[in-house]
Amino acid sequence: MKKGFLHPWIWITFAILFLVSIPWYWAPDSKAMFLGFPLWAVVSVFGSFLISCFTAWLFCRLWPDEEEEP
Amino acid sequence: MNSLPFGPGAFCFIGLYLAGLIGLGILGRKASKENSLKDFYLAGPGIGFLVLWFTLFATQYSGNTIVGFTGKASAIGYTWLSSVQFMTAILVGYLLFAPQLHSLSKKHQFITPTDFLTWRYRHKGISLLATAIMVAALGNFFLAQLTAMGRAVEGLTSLPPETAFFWGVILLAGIMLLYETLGGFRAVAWTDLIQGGILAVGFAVLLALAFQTFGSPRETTLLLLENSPEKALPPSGKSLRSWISFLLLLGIGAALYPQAIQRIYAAKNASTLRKGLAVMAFMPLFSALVATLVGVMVAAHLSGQMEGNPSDTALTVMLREIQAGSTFGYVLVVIIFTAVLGAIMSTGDSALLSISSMLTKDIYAGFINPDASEKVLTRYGKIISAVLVILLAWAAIQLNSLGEKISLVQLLGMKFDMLIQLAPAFMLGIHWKGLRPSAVFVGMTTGLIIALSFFWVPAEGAGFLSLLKNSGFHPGLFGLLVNLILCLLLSFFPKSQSSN
Repeated sequence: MKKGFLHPWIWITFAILFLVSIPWYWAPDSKAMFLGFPLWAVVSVFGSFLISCFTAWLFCRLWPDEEEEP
Repeated sequence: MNSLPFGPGAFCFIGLYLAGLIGLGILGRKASKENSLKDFYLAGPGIGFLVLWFTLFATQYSGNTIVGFTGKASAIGYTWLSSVQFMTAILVGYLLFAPQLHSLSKKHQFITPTDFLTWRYRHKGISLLATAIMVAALGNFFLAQLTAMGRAVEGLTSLPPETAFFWGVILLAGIMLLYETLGGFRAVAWTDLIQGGILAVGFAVLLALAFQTFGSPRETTLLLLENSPEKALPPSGKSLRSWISFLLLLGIGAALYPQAIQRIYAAKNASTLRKGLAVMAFMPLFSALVATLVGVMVAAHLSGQMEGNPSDTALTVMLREIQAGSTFGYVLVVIIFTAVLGAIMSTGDSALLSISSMLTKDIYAGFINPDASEKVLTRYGKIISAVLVILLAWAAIQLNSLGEKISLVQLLGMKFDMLIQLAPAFMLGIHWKGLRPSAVFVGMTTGLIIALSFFWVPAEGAGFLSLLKNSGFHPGLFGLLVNLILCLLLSFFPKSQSSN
């Protein structure tokens, strides 16, 4: 796979994961909790976990073949 | 004064740990195969998975992660969970260039990041400016580690603070210089195995202690909502913009840390590198997350003791609470303190080695004495390391005696605005053959000027630039935007631009 990590679908996936993880869509006065933590914080950390999983998967499975030099 | 007075047992443990580092330096020297830059700065043929993983971990996670992040979280609360994301974003940044750079480094025997830039662009201006940026950024970073060493010893003893700081810097910087001079990259990487291991244990112990001391997360969150709700509610406005800004700045800028690039070079092969990076993608969940949660708990339960103190004393405040509780607590605090020391030294030694390599190979051999032999260059590299340690230790001591209590996180912020200006050169240039050297040079120079000039923009002004400065976005991002536009426009410019 010569293009390696430059495939657009990879970066679209990252964009979605970061959009979910960054707490821009929560109401500023949201006090909902989950397991003792603010719910927005739990969602953010879970999103970070998914980003870690996706990144690790990319490194392990889609490491690019050697390509010609620029 | 915030201090953790340790007894003889604790000093013995820390003394043994420091002696062990010197021992590894001696072993590193014995394992050296040849007197060459590649052997000294990259451990010759390279390092395997376990060493690579631990050296990446120990290098990336400095004393700032434990002390500064805890402090920042105690100041702004759960919003500092942005640190988990931006530390992960660094690994995302590697996706853009690490595989290709590793492959090229093996083919063309790169030692420093500038070796790639010289090979790719053959433009003296780019090589010189990029080296200057990296040396300045790392010099700032190394100064922060030296300051942290002094602060660590200040908190360790009941000596007058300035005396403790002075001897802390001299002793710890001296030990670091010794094992690094003896064993080069091997010593740095092997000591990272120990330091990374203690760091991992330290994070685990810290989290367990925090929950044991402060009770359930629910109590913490409810206390914050009652007394400091802004630390528990979702971020908005400037805080949110700052979150996004840190993501971009660190995801791109920190991926370009020279010592990290050299670890890409040092990986034995592509398989080792991809496994190391894959594991690193999860490290923020065990480090930045822990530091943030601990800081939040300090904010909720120890806010009274934090009043009037700088935020980066949050960890010390917490450890004093725990240490006083029991002998077991005391032992665990010693382990955490050693972890902090290890984190600071493991980051400092990598920064020092990287600066030394760039000054030796890119500046001295590149511009002053291109015919110098490998043996001479390696010797000069060691001398340069010693001079750097002396100069920057002196600077750290002077700054401290001036009463400049600079928060670790503030010191961290400056260098990424500079480093991020290298992004088009590395991340774009490694893929796009059409990126012209002159375009890269103009973009890099302009981006850097824009980023640094924000230092003089008044924060209280009403003008557009003051508005940008207060927006929550880092100046380096504005510089990068212009940098990138110039790279694209000037590369598509029809007239041919002659490269240097």
